[in-house]
Amino acid sequence: MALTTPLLLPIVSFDSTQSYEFIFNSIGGSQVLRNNLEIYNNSTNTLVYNQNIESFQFKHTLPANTLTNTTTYKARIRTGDVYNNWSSWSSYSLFTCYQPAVVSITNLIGGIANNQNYTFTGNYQSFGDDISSYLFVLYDENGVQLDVSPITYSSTIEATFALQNQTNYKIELKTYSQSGVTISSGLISFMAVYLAPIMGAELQLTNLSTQGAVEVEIIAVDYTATASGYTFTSSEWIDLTVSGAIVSFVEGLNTINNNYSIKLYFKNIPTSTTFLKIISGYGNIEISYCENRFHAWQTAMGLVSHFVNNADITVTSSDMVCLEIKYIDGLIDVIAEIYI
Amino acid sequence: MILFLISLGIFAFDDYGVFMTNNGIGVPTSIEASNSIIDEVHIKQDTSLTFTSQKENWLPSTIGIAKFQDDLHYGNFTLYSQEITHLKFKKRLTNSLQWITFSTVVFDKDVTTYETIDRLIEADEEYQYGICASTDTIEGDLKTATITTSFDGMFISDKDSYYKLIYNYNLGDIVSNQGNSIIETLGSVYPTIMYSSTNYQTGSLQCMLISDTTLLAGGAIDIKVEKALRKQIMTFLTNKKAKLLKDSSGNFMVISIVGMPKLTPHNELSQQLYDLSFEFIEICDATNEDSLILVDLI
Repeated sequence: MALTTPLLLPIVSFDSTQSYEFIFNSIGGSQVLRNNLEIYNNSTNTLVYNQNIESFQFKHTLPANTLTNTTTYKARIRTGDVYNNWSSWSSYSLFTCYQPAVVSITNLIGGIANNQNYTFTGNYQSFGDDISSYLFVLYDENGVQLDVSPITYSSTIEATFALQNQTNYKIELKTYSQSGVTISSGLISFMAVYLAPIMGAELQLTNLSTQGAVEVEIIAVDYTATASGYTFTSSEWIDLTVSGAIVSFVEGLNTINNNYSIKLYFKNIPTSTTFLKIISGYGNIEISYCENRFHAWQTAMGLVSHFVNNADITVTSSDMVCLEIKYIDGLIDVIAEIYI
Repeated sequence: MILFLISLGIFAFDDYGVFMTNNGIGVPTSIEASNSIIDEVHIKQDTSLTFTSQKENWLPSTIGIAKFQDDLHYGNFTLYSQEITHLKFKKRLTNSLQWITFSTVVFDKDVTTYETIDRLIEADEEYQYGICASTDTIEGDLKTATITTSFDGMFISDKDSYYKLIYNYNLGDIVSNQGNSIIETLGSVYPTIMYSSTNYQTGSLQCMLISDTTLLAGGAIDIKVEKALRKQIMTFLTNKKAKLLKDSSGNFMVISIVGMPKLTPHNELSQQLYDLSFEFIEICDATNEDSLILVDLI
């Protein structure tokens, strides 16, 4: 039985510094015992490679550094049997050798993505085989695929994903070159960390069984104080020690029905100087500290009344004090404690 | 005349250290702090709570908590200087990872209580609900709570209205429709079965329409209300919009009404009450947010 003409499979561009397997197929005919690969420089038509390989397998491995990158070649193959018969040559397949592009994600500095909707940017360093398209793939920390960006045909490499705060992920940039080579950045680990609003109130859920529904309710309050002359320190404190510095709370006070409590956590408490003033249309309450007591002076409707906490408390300027002023039906309860 | 009273000596009051006058200033219009370095201010209405120097979380009686974390907000958000624009209500079945945003409301600083009704629920399922405060670009962390739903009877609803169909209600067969084709070839003993991706349910429902007014009237039929109810529900059933159908047995589907909804009078009651019947066909996945948006149910 004669040998049939082999079929050389399409050759994807490859790096000439690496070995490469030319795959072919031979259907029917005598058993293939050897194959012969010829490679020509396409521009000069000079033969640069011509080798026989004794193998039953339908492949021919080209040794590394046989060819030169950024050069276009054409290759053909024929098969031989045990009787030294050779098949006809296959058709030529055209290919170009390129050094692989270097693909990277450029904006994951320190492995942190600092936004909920984070736009990843990538870079494709070409050595002749330019980018055709790309996509990003988002994985969880265990490598399970979560999301994938659309395949994009653009030289600007970027894609945006929605990320959960304080969560570990992996990201991969996959590029496709114009000659059909796929190059990946590999899976790069990162963590999403960003400042996001946090609600403090609890969610109230009620079964509305007669309506076949659930009622969801929450109290959401966003009041803003006004202030002048202040500075924030350590993202924890407001410093009002400068002369004239003041912070005022107005919003929300109109929702008070009758009694109320004001609890302060503070330090650098002055002696014999008002540091808290509660004002209404009928008068005011001034809170100060002297002689080891916290004092509340209420001036209302022309009357002045005086309230103090019921035990001595010695406060230095560095002590942090929790002071609660309870206004109960016109009377004032003053309670203070040093806290750590 | 100004009367000056000081709580010393025989005027002192043991508990409060106070002279017993209740000429108070009443509800404050402003509270001003100065001459100190402040960590936190917590203003609340409840004065009955025992004093504790521990910082308290937001309480039902809280007016505001100022934490001074680089901003002057004193609500129940930790904002990091961001501006809240929306509140997003989300939910999921506790055995699912897929959250559905079923309602988004614009945040208004003058409104402090936000509530929404979720009718997209299955009976006797455990749901986790969550609310997040959102800025223009960032969704905040979810505040969550869990509830097991419970209801009896059959409900049909859309985004704006709902009807409880519970009296004499009779749900017909629920048929699962999956397209298939049987191909018999000359060379094969057995046929080849081809399936399409079509997979939906159809069914029918019949019930007696009775208004709550008639039910509570102890036997008397409120003809006017019954007439209005019939008109409302027929308008609802023929408005060509998607609807949610659910019952206590676990049926839960997005449907369209097909065929001809029918009102059948009870002639023995002089046509004062009617039976309602209609056929329906499932049109999309009731657990898929995109589908629910498409059919205008969320």
